[in-house]
Amino acid sequence: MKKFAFGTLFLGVAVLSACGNGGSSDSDVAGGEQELADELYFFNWGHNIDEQILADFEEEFGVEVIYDTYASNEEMLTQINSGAISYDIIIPTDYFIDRMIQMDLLAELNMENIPNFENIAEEFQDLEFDPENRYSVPYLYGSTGLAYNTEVFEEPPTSWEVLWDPEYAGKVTAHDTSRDFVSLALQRLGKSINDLDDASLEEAQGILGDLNDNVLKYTTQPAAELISGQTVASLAYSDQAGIAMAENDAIAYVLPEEDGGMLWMDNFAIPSNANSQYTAEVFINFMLGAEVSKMLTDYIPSSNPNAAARELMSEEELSNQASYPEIPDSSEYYVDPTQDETRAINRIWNEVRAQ
Amino acid sequence: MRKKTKIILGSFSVLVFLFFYIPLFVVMAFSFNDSSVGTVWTGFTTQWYESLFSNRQILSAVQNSLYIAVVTTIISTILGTLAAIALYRYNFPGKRFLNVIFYIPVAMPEIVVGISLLALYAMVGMTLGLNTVFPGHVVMATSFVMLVVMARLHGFDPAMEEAAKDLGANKWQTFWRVTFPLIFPGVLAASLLAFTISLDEFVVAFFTTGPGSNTLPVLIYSMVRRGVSPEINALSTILLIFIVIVVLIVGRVLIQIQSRGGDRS
Amino acid sequence: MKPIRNAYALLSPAIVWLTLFLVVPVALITVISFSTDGGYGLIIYEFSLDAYLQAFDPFYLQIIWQSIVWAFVSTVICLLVGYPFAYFIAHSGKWKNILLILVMIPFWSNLLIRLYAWVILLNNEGVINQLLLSIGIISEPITMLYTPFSIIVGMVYGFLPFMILPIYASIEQLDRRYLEAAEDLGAGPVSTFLRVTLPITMPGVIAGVFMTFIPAVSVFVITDLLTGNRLVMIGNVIRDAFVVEMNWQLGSALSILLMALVLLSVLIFTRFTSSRSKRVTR
Repeated sequence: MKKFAFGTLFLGVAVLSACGNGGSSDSDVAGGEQELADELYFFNWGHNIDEQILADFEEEFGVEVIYDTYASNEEMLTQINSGAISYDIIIPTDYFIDRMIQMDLLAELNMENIPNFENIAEEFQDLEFDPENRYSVPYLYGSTGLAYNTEVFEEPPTSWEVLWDPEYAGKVTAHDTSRDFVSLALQRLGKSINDLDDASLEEAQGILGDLNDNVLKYTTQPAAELISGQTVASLAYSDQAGIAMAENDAIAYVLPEEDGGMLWMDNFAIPSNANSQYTAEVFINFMLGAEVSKMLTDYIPSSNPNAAARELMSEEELSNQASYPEIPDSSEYYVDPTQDETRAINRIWNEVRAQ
Repeated sequence: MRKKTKIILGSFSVLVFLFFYIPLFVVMAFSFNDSSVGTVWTGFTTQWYESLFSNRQILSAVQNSLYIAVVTTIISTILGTLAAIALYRYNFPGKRFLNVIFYIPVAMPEIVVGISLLALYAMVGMTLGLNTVFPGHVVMATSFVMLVVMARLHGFDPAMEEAAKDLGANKWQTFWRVTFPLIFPGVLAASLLAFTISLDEFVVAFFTTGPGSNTLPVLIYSMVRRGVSPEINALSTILLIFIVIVVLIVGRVLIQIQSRGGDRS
Repeated sequence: MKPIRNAYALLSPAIVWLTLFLVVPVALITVISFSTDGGYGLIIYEFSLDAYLQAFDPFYLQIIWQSIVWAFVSTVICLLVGYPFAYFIAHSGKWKNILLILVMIPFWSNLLIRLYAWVILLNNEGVINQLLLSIGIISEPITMLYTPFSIIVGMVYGFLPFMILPIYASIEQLDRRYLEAAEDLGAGPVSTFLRVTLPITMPGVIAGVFMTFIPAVSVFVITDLLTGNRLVMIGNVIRDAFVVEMNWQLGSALSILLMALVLLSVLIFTRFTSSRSKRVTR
């Protein structure tokens, strides 16, 4: 029997709760008598949807959408894990799906209610963190690569090395997330971003001090300084790069050919303590409709895994190199680290900066 | 104050006010900025004001924040003021201990307040919502209120209360007619602080809020990964102008009433 | 016996509230800090000192020390700026309440938004540098952002009201007759200030120092934004322990360690100042 989290910590309710969480919900979903709930509780990343979509859903299905936002997977997970809160839909990123499945926090989806799943391009189905899409459906995806100024770099940089280059000291930025920080070094050393044994991490830490000396700041929003020309190269999420490119033609985005860069995927998932799994599935299905899905990426410069939506896009939209860059073979998705690995990564991030 | 001191202090204070307000002028200016990334100026637009009013999420977050801040201010001002009076005036067993207790919320990192309350709510099976936010805010604000009112009470002259009692005033009359007016500036300062703390707090609020009851700081904080929407600048501008106008009007009226009733200062 | 009953009557609402929403959660955190880590926030109720062994790591202690130093420096500057400012407001007659509210209004708009404004102001290509360049005072932009200077600007900006308000509350009641008496006795303005004004307003100063210093120790949002996430504060470490590493034991142990340190310094400081200020007034 598994025991999880502090919902189950106290008063010895571990047994009860484990049953509650672990009880599979697919058995009671089948059958025809499903009804829509009056409300749908949706917990999403901040700034991650065109709110018109929610209004359209409300109008079409007569379900009120209660919409809240979070800043990181970790914070969302802490809240969901407490058991004191229930949402119908959450949007965890790739390896958090895996972790939440391990923690028994997600409900199995009833795909009969999500026929539009077939709109998802095949390459984005059955990804490693949820091999049969039993718990999750792609929402948006993107990559973490290099946004750079073409006036400084005539050829696209092929390695993270530019971030280390003393010539650009104070003119480069990196992410303020420990995992991305350490991954830069791992990829530069020719290792996998999921190669987290002690020796690799130690080697990575060895070269991160120089990176730390070189960066202007750590941020996940490098767009402003890139646009103004204050920085010339930044580690950037593809959507942030897209924002910068839209405002300054000199900015370009690339996944460095030698090192690879990181891939990520945000996904719809339904917490196991959702109020109405059926309503959530209807909502996911609605979101996967070609036109709705296109609205989503019209508003946010992330990449769309929805093949049907892509068919509606113009040539120009599809050739946007931020949203649809060339993906080197060495690009990878993150795999969920163990807790010890997370701790080690965080430790490096703190130690390097505190030097 | 001597004239020279007054001029020096006055000019110094103007500088401090500038220090406080210049960032807000920047926020106002950038609320008309064409760029969506906020920190570079690219051109003039009013689009953020237009989209602000169709953004339900922001508007309801403003309402939630105000509600929480007002409730927090009322409760914590009452609790903190009463506690300060008791701690100042009386000697009783456990006083030292209580004094320390009141410092704990100030000393505790907000994340610990937030997470421990979340754990508590989960333990007792409480469903999170708007009304699970203010208990944490009240805890933090009460300490600040208590400290400010205590500072005011030092130097409070008990002879005044004695005199009132000698003149036949009962406890309530003494409190409302003598004690309260004397400590009022402290209570006002304290309640302003309580309001300010609650209105802009987001760590405790994030962990203790439930579906549909995001506060504005929680909402803004949730945007940091993708960049905070310039609509927030527009909102800040509107709120700021509105508040300053209200304060100045109310202030003027109060001053007029005061000067008609005889200037007490 | 009656005064004691009165005291408890006045205190009881606060005590009830603090017990429910502070003492109980803190007790919970304390218990958790001594429990066994079951992974991903799972708590196994077996006594363990692991978390404290991890917390008493020289690296964390160094970060705590660094946080204390930054908090201390900011507090001193807040005091130096806040005292004269509060003094002026308290002496501005019928305008004082309005001025007081005007001090608070900036703090009703969001902290992140105001900090972004500071980034815009202090940036190499920011408003201040552009202004100075165009007047010709400087020929090259001064690097202000992501330096110790910007940390101090941010911390002082964030915490100054917490210094001003209690000092204001205690200066405002300063009886002018004391000052006049001192001057009649031939004391100059400086010695009047040092011997009369300052000791009488000391409780406000102490409250202000605590209300600035203590929260400043665990701050991280301000330092994150104004150093570009280059400074590690104990607040960052505690948040990461809870949220990123999902190690509640370590997060709790670090919080308790930090609280103990802070409360200890409060106790020492009050001892020291209360005996001192009594000597001065008498």
